[in-house]
Amino acid sequence: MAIVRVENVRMAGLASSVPDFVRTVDDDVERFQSEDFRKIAESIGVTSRRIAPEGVCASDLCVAAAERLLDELGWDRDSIRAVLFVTQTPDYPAPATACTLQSRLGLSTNCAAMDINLGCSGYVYGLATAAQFVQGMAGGQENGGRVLLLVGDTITHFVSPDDRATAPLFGDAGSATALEFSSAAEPIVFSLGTDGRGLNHLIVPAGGARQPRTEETGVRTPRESGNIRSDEDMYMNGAEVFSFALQEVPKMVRSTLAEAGWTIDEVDGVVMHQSNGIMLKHLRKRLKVDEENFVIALEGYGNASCASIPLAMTHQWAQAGRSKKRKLVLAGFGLGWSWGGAAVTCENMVMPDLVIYETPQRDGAADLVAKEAA
Amino acid sequence: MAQPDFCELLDELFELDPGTATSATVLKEIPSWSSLTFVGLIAMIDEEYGIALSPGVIMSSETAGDLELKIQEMQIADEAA
Repeated sequence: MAIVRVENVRMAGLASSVPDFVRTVDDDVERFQSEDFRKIAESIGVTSRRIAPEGVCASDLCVAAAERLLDELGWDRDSIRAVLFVTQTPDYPAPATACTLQSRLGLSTNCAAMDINLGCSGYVYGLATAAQFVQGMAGGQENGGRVLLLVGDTITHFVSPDDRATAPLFGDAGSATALEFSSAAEPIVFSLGTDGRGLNHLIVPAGGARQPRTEETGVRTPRESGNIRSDEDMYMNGAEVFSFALQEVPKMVRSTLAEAGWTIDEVDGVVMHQSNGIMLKHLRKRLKVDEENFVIALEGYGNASCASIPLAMTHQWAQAGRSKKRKLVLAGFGLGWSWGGAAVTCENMVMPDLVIYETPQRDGAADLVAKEAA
Repeated sequence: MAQPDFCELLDELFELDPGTATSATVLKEIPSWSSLTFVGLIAMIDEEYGIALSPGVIMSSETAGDLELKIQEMQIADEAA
């Protein structure tokens, strides 16, 4: 594993957001004309999930989270020195969405901006990159080198509604994490790895330079097991994903703990990429993590791609005031194959309640159910 | 540790009446065989035998007996390593 160790960087706050539209298992039962979907929903732990209507971008969800976070932190926007955006669903093929986020958020031009293209492992990689930016930019100054890490996907825009492997599982979300220099912060340790041979098991094949979009690539046709999708939709081989996760995730978590000098028993929370309920329950048992220290936040959201870890943290620990001290292990893993673990001690974080992004009125949202205010 | 009875585990996983699965049972002909039970099968083998099988190994096993043999071979290979 590639080990990254970062000193004197603290996570100052975290906010997450979801769109105000939902799809439920009832929609799946109707669409596929099969009651089997109730059992599938129970197994994967998702009976409803959040959906961004067409036209709503991952960046929009992240901006909503960032605005809320910056308000609660009370940070001067001119003090932010970098904005990083982790996504697979950017606003444009070019330029990088992070550049648009610099101006949308009213940040200074003395601000670095870049996109990072990763999926399920993306939050951990984003955190590793952001933390190193803080360390490099702060010049040892307390509260210096501030970085805003925005992580989100509208991954359902890649999902065919007639593919039973993906349609009942995925949801959309965005997040914003604030980091800054603090001489009192515990070290953050990352353990990262990649195996590109996993390429074809979890992929959106067409729409990039390798296989450009054509009339044919957009046509949805019957594929394996009667699933219907196009080459511009996401393909997922769930069994291969699970097999990969079994091979790599326990090793990665053990490596992360060893590098941090922690044991699993002293960890206050393990937050994995929220892949699906079957996989998470199995990994929990395999790693011998107590149920109360293992975060599962799938119900009501779905698998939210790169945003699933911050979303799960908001779901679990959002509160007024400042958060208490927690030793956390974060574990991202998935398409690539790409994986990353982080051992991070969180303390005095601003963690606002989940932000519900209000979709401007759109015709394309007609088949989605507006979520009533909770 | 005693080896679990593979056919009993299959009955449980696929919600078959006890005693239904035998070593001659063709995996893909089990009525509740699906992508989801496939994932459950990988999890069960990992839990009971400590072996993370690749889906290819399962797909190339025609019967329950074939699969059990591959599990045993991998256990022996693991112990030898």
